[in-house]
Amino acid sequence: MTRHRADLLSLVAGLAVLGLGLVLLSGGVGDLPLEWVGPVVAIGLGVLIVVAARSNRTPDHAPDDEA
Amino acid sequence: MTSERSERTGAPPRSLRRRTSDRVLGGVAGGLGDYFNIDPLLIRIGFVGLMIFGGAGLVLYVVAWLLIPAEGQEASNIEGFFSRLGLTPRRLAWIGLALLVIVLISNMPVGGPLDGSGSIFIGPLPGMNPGALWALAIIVTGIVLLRRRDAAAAVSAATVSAAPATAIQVPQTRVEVAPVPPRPRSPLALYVCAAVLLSIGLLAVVSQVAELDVRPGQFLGAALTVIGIGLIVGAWWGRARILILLAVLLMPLAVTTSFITAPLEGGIGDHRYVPVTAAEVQDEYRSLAGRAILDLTELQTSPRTIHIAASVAVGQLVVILPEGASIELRSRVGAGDSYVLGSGDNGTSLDNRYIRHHLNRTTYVLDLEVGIGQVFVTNSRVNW
Repeated sequence: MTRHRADLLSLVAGLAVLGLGLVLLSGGVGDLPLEWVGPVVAIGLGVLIVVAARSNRTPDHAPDDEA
Repeated sequence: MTSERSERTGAPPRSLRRRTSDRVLGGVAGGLGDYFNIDPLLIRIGFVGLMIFGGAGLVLYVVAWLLIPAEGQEASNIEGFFSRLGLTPRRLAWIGLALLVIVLISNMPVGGPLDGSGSIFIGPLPGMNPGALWALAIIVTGIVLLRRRDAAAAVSAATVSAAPATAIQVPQTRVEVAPVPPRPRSPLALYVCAAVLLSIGLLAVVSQVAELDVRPGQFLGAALTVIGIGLIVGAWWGRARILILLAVLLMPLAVTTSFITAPLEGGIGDHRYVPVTAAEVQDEYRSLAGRAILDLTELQTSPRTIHIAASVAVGQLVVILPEGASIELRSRVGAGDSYVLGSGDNGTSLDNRYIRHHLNRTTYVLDLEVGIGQVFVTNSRVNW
């Protein structure tokens, strides 16, 4: 694997997925109120879409595997 | 028909392809817009609308992204994924057969009659631990993925090293420009997939050996943790954006199963238990999914204390008590509703207690648990 310029979309998505994974792994999701899940997911999706749209403006740095 | 028409008109056949440029996410809406000759914005609005109202938009988009090839490619993402794993249809059939065998020799309920006579179980074989068997299968799959990747890399390297020798044999009478070899794909996604399987398998082994109570949501949490680490690594090395798709697919399942705190025991389907004598009362009533109804109104017994633990991992648990009975009850629901003798509650991590004593009456000490679903405790058989 070769080093490349920072891929912001992968970084943001990775941090979000890592955070959720750690919460689930610790078994603490049961303490989270359900009414917060929808807004948090919506905000997360919005951030990802913005990041994805911004990264698509720089095709020179397109990744090997596109999602 | 499209190609026939194109042959007559001389125009190239129009095929459905995802856009690789001028796109927002995966190029699905753009590709559909090009194919149907409509504004992709309308399709994007449709996807977002379906996403908000029921979530079908996300599923449809992901399915389309998997099945529709990108511009300039013949194979879709799902075909390419299986191809990169070396999984031909024949090999997939063998894997399916192996999984079927594991299910059959595991202590996994495969269904049950609806008359309450219990579930159908197959296995386990004497001395075999089903959990360890699953863990071993997952670990072996992860190792096979790694080995297959290494073998593919070796074949690719051998092909590249052999290429110059072949070029020397080309006759000099004709000059051909060799096509630019495609950029090698990053192996990071495959490594992460293997690491996910290995982590789940190892977690299962540790839980078996140390007798830890690891819930399904925690297994998927481990998987998401590994995927997240892989994505962060891919932000600088290797790249593996396809892992975002894998994470999006896993997230709803992981969050949902994390609320399942009830034991994963029992069968699947609707069950009704109506004990008449004290001897018929079981200490435990377990169900994996479905509706379990425990009707204690027919129970004929002298005043005594009866302890019962009942659980449904996903579904409904209904307990019908005789009028005037003494009750010491604990009701836990991971996510859903809890209705106990007229008072209701809903939400997550519900833990309700109810105590009612009458002199010279049988006391029922009930420990009720539902992972996702409802608990109903009532005195009425109406509706049940």
